Amino acid sequence: MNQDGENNLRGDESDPLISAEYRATATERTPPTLDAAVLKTAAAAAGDSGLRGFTAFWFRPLAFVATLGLSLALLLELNHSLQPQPVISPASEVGRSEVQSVVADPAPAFLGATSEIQRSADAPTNKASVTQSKDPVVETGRLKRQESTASSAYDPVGNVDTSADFAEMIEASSKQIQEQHGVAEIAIEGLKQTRSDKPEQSREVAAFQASALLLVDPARPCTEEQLAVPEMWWQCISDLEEDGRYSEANAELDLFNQANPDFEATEIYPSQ
Amino acid sequence: MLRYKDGDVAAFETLYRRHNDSLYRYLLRCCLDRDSAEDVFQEVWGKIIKSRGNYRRTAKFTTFLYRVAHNCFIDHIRRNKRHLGKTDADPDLFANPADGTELAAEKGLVRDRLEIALTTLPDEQRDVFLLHEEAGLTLDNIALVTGVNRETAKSRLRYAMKKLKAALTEPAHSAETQS
Repeated sequence: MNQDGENNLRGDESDPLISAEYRATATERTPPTLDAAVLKTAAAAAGDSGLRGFTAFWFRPLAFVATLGLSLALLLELNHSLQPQPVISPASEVGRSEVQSVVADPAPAFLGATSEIQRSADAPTNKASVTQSKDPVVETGRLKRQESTASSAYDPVGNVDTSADFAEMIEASSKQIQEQHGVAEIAIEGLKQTRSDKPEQSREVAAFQASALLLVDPARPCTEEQLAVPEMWWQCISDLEEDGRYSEANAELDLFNQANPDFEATEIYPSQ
Repeated sequence: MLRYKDGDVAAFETLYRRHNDSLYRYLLRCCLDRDSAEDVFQEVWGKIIKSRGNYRRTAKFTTFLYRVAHNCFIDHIRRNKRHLGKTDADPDLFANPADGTELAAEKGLVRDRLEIALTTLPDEQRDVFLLHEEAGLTLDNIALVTGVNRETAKSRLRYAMKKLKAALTEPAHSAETQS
């Protein structure tokens, strides 16, 4: 009996004589075969446990390393996908396609309906000249715009390592796309109204459409002030014709007719 | 046990060597049958080994060990129903093969009386007595192992001691009682 047991027992519960007699009597020992069997079982179980312990010990570090590796790979993949042109070219391409769809689509409808000048003009040529001008000045201006767009979205020096730069690039690019898309939608809406049964379109609407078209392609030969006043716009067109810039003049004439369907061209256009 | 939980087999062996004999004697006197005692003994240690993963140090290991042993013994009784013939237990059951003939004869009288008295004790009293003598448990721990309150354990131990004392000091009266 241990010390706790002695302290815990008082009076009749504890009898040293009985305890001594019992201890003298109870001398049996565990058979060695039983010992061997139990210890063998324990050793076998400990082997499994050791393996499990090893696995449990390495499980968390391995899981952490795997998570870290996957995150790193994902980040690198993201950087790799954002670095090349996709940031640049989709913006400019989308913008260009928007301009083309806005300006070029409604043109044939107006070509057959408005004026003799328009009838005499070559519609496909006009369309092409509006969307893809062969004029080196216009083309240069367009390229410059694209370059400026690209440079604002992408730093060719290589300072694009951080995700913040990429986020800014994406934001700038998306803003440009949204602006262009918004302007194009306004122009399309105006042109739809024009196409509908409202021949007496007001001049305010025409001016708005003109300004919308001006926003779409600011590198046109006529200035914003000229586009705001039909007479000045008309004068600009006639000046282009006098200068021999017929493709630009035809393109401007198409746009002019779209914006000002009620304008009396013969009054100040002596060539007609 | 915590070291064995971490895979230290040597720690388990130390633990086993500390408790194996007393546990064996406890089960031998509870079961009153050597084969059954060995079966239950193996079952107890098997459960201890299996439960090492969930082992928490909430009490002394001895208390934990004997609680398992007590439950295994109860299960053994329920399974085999062999405990009914306890009064027919062979006194030589507890003989130590290492003892010589003369020494065995000298020990025999006292041992026989004590062993017979032990076998005649009610299961609960014998259980409490053995937990007290073999495991060295306190009344609180005995109560915890047997699933009774402290006063009940104390009462059982008192009765057990009283009967054993009477058997040793008054063998004739004990023999009459037994018959």
